[in-house]
Amino acid sequence: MKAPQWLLLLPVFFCSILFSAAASAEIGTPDRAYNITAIAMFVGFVLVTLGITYWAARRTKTAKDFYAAGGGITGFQNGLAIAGDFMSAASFLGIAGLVYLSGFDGLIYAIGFLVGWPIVLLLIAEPLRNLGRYTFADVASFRLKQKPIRILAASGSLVTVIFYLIAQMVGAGKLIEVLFGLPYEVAVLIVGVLMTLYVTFGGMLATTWVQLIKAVLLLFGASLMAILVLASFNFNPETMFASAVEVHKSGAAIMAPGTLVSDPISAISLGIALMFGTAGLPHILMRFFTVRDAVQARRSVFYATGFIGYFYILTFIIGFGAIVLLLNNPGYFDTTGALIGGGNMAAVHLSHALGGDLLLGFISAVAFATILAVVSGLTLAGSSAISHDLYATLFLKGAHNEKKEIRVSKIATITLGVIAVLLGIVFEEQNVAFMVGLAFCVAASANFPILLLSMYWRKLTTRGAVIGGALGLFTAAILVILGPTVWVDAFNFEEAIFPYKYPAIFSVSIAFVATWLFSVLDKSLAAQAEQQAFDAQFVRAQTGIGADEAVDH
Amino acid sequence: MTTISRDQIQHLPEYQTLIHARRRLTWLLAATVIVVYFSLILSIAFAPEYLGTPIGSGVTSIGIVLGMGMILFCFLVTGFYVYYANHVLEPLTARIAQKVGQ
Repeated sequence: MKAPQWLLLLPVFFCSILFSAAASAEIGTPDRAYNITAIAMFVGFVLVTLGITYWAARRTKTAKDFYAAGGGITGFQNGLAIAGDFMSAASFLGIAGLVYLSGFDGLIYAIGFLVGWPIVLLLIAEPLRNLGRYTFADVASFRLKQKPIRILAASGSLVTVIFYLIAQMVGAGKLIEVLFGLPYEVAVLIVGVLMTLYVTFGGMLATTWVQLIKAVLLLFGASLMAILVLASFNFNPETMFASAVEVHKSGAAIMAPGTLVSDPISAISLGIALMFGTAGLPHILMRFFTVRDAVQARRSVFYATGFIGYFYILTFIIGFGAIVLLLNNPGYFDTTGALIGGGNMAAVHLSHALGGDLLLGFISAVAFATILAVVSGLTLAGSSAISHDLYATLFLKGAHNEKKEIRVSKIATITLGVIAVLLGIVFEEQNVAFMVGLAFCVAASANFPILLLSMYWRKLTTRGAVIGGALGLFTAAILVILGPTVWVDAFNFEEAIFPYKYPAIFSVSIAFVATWLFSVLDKSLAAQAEQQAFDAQFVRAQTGIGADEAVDH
Repeated sequence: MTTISRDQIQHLPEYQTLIHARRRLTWLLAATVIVVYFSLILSIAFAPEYLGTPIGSGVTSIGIVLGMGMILFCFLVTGFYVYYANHVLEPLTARIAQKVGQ
């Protein structure tokens, strides 16, 4: 689609909103003077990304351009973009904050987010690229019945995307409120409008480049902070840990696992959700369709794992740096002795302690940019599920009509943008921490089992996949609601009906067992045909032969 | 060279070698990652004191070293597989593609 000329006017529009909002915002604390540096840098980011969107819009003509950036992203770029999807503001500020509060426990989360990647590489990436075009439902429905499987996969995708999106929007609003002094609603609205623009006009090409720029900025900022932290300890981690143990109120306990995971069921369950959830996140899976072939897909996971691992090590150092450098400085605490803005602000305050207003402004701007990049990827994954899986199968009934499909995709993007802004405002005062956990849990319980079994298990049938996937989806959602995070923390009931915070061990097992059982019990003729189609699918999954041709299934 | 049809790919010796080599390696590596990771998770749940034991006379604990080691391990596993796939599996795939005339 050709970009309208008025797109060029948007930067002006945004700068004026940002500056006027900043000027009219209540300036609560005196140290808010830094806002101008942060806002100037952020406006720079917005200008560059809107420029990219304009450039991308002119190159986005076909469905392949829109959903998969024309398939022309290199393995290295895709690896960096995937890493960008994982280096969200939540993981940067959240893990650094967790390390700041309890030391070692932050590392447990960091590792959990990383271990999914070898699994994605070994079992998912190559067959996914060889079998699919734009969404993982292409793969799941390769030899199964289109309609039920796509409805299931799209439901799994949309549930994952919407919960992840709400968590990001609320986090974004709160963060921007603190960092820039903008009112919460304005912050959420800016995020919503910008992400809708990137996705609607620039499709996957713009979404990927926004992610790439942000990933480079974030890696640079985090590296700089970690180096400055280490430099103050003569590059000796032992000295850093020793100083942290000395000043932290928990003392040597910060070097050992704390209260994050206590009972074995929760520990295993959290591990399962993080490890297999990664392999079922629609916005991550979608990125594998932006590269040329399985070789590039493989390469992208290698780079992604390297960047994500490196980034989490930086975050860990930043968390420990925050313990030493902030706890010695009363200026970062309010009168009650709590860190201003809460534990999640540890990395932000540390940037000020290390590099003054300039570094603080830079890190704040990067945090804002990070949110934008991540929500854009999520929105694109959600709108693809609506247009490519639901609309194209249910309404077009497989009759190819790229124009209509892209148009629906754009309408879906705008709709998702509006929904995200509204839900972001509705959930402002709610505890949304469970939503990312729920997204991972649903991804691990509904998307991952169906995707894995469709690729590797000959006997999988439509009936088995639909029943198993749906049970996984509902079990995950219901157990999270009945568990402590929603039932007690959000609904304020006395005691949780389901005792564990992380239900993945149950919901993933139910999904696999039900899929197996209803597949082997399925003796229908259709089931036999689906099983016979496995060999041809497997050849293509393993060799990529036939993957370049247009597939009309 | 005569080209063969796609239905016959399954019977090519190269295809058999490819499938067996990849299957053996991927499931072995995946199982290793899963076992190593869940061993760490279970020791976090059952033996937190052990993980908190300092190494030598310093404060750096066994847990921190194992945790950092886990991150490095994930990176090495992906690196090893990508190297193996590019050098061993890809030539096999190329030969199969050649035989079907692609």
